[in-house]
Amino acid sequence: MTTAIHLNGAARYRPPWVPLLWCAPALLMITIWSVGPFVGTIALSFTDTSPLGMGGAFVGLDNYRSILQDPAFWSATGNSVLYAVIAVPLLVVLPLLLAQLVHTRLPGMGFFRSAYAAPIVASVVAVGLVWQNLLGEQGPVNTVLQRVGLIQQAVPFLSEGSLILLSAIALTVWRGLGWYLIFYLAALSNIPRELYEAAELDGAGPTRRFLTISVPGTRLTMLLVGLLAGIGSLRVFSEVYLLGGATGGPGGEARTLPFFIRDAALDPLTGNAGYGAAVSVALFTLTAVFAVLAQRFGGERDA
Amino acid sequence: MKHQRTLSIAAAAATLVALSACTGDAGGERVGRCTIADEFAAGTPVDATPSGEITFQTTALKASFSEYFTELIEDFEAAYPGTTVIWEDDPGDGSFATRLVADAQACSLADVVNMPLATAGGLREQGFLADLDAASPGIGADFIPSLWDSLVLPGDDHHYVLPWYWGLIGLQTYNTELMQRAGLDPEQPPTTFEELFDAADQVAERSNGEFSAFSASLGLRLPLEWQLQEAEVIADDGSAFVFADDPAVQEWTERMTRLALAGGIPKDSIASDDEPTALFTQGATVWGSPNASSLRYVQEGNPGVYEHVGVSSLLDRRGTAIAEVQTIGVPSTSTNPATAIAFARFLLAAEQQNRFISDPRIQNFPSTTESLGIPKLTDITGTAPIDEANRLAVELADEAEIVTIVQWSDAVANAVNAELQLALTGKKAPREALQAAQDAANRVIGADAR
Repeated sequence: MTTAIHLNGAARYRPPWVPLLWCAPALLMITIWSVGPFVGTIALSFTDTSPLGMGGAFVGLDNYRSILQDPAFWSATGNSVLYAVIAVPLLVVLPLLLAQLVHTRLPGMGFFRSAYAAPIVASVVAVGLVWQNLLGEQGPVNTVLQRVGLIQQAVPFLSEGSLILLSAIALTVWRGLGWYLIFYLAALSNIPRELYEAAELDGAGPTRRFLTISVPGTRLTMLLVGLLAGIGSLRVFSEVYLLGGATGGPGGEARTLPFFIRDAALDPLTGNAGYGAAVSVALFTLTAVFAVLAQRFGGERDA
Repeated sequence: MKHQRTLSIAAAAATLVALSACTGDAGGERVGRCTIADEFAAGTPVDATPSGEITFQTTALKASFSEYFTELIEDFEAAYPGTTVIWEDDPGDGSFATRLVADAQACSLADVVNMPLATAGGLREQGFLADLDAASPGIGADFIPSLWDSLVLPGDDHHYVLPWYWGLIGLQTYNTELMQRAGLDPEQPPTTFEELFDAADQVAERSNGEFSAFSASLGLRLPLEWQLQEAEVIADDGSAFVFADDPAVQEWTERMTRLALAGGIPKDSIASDDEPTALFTQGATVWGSPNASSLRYVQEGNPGVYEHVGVSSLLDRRGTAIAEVQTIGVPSTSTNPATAIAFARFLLAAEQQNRFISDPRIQNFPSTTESLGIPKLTDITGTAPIDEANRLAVELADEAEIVTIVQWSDAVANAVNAELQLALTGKKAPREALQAAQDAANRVIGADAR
C-alpha cells in the first residue's frame, strides 16, 4: 500500500518542466549543431561573405537573383533532379526484389547476403576507381560489348556528359543496393510467414505472393528508402567527381548541385560563401519539396 | 504555466550568454573572427625566444617520411629547449583547399603550414599569412635567388611564404620504342610545342589506335604549357585573364583539338584528372609527365617501359624552366609567432634540406643554394633515365623561376578546363571554347563585374 501511494504521489506532484529538463541537453545540442548552422546558412545567403569569413556585407536577394539567372545553376539543378528521378525508383524496387530473393531460404543465400552488403563497407573512392577502370575506353565493359558485336566503337562512358551522369547513377544504385536490401530484409522478416503459407494454399504463385503480401508489407519501408535515396541523390558529389573529373565531365555537363556549391563557394581566393549558401538553400528547398511529395505519395497509397 | 515560461526564458538567456562568451572580443587586430598575433600586426621583427607549443602541417608526407620529420622535430626541440612541435599531415587530396579554408575560418590553422602557392595567394589576400620579410628580416638570404625573387605574390613586394622543395617543368619524357613504331627519331625529340604537335599528329596517324601521343591532363598542363610559350595568360595587373587573344594559346588549343579528334589523345583522359604518368607507365602513350620525379613510378610500375624512356628539355620560348614549388607559410593568426618562425627557418635550413633531398625516393629539388651542391645532385654518374633527368634538371635548376598565377585557382582551372574539354571532344570550335573559357575564368575572379 505504501509503495502505491508513494508512486502515485510522485506522478501527481512531478513538476511539469521535468520532461523539458530531460530533453534539454539534446535540444541544446540540436540547436547548436543543427538549427544554428541552418539558420546561419540562411543568414549567410543574404551576404557576400568570402569563404574565409571576410566581408559579409548584406546584399539582400542579390545572390538569389543571380543564381536564378545563372545557366550553370539550372544545368546543375536539372542534373540533380534527373539523378534522383532515375536513381530513386531503381533504389526502391531493385533492393526489394533482391531482398525477396535472399529472404527465401535457399542453400547458399548467406553468401549472397554478404556479397550484396560488400559495397556498403567499400570506400566510395576505391569503388569509383574500380568503376573507372571497368567503364574506360579499353575497360572490360567496352571490350566485352565489342567482342560480342553489340558495339563497333567504344562507348564514351567517361568522356560524354550524359553518359558520365548515367554511369554515376549506376554506381550510386549499385552501392545503395546492399544498404537498402538490409532495410527490406528487416521489413520482410516482420511479415508473418503464415500469410505466405495461406496464400500458397490458395494457389497464389511466387509473383502473386510478392505483389499481394511482400509489397504491401514493406510499403512503409519503401517510403523510407525512397526518401533516403532521394535525399542522397540530390546530394551526390563523389560519384560524379570520380567518373567525370574535377570539372564534372566536359563542359561541366554532368555537374550536380553540390558541384556547383563547391565551385561557387569554396575556393579560398575566388569563392563567395554567400552565393554558395544561396545555392545550398535552393538545394534544401528542392530536397524538402521532394520529401513532401514522397510523403504525400506514400500517404495516398497507404490510404 | 507561468513558472514554465519563466524557466524557458531563463534557459534561453543562459544559452545566449554562454554562446556570446565564445565570441567575446579579446581585443587586438583581427582577420575574420581571428586575432592576429601582435608581432605580425605590428609588422616588426619577431625576436622573442622560442618556447611553448606549435603545430606543423605537411601535405601527404607522413606515409613515407615519418622518420625524417620525427628526427627533425626532435632536433628542433633539442636546439630550442622548452618548445614542442605537434606534427599533422593532411592527405592533400582534392579537398585540401576546402579544409584549409575551414581551418582559417575556425582560427585553427597550424602555426607552420605546407601549401601550394596558389592556395597561399588566397590566404594572403585575406590577411591570413604573416609578412615574413618583416617578421624575420633576411629570412630569404639562403634560398636560390631566382626562386626567392619570383616568390612575391601579386600586389606586394614582400614574401608571405618560403620556398621548400620544388619540381621542374621544362623537361619531356618519352617512350623511345613507341616513337620508333610511329616513325619518329628518338634521337631528335621535339624542342618546341609546334614540333611536339607535329610528332603527336604522326603518332595519331601511324599508331593504328594501339597507343596515343599523350594524355590530355588539362589540369596539369595548364597554364604551364602556355607559360612555357611565353603566352600572355593574365593582364599585367592581374585584373583579368586575356589568354584567348594570345596567338600561342590559340595555336595550342587548335592543335590539341585536332590531335584529340584524330585519336592522338585517349578519350578517357579528357575529363579525368589522371597524371600522364599512369598511361605512360602502361605503355599507352608516347609522352609522359614533364616532371622528372614521375620516372620513379615508371621504374617501379613497369620496368619494361622504363628501359625505353628518353628524357630531354622542352623549354620552348621561355628558354628557362618553370619551378613548381611547395611553400611554407606562417599564419598571421599563429598564437606562438616566435616558435613558428624559428621552426620554419629550421625546417628550411640547408642542413635539413640536404638530408631531406638526399633521400633516394625524392626527385624534387631543395630551395637553398647550398643544397644544390649535395652529391646526389652534383655527382650523377648513372645513365638510367632518372639519372639523365636529374642531370638535365640540375643544369636548369639555377635559373628556374616560379611563374605561378595565383589567380589560377581550382575554380578557375575547372572553369577553363571544362570549356576546353568541349573543344577536345568536338562539341565546340577551339576559338569559341577558348573565348568561353576566358569569360568563365573572368567570371570566377569577378573581372567581368569590374
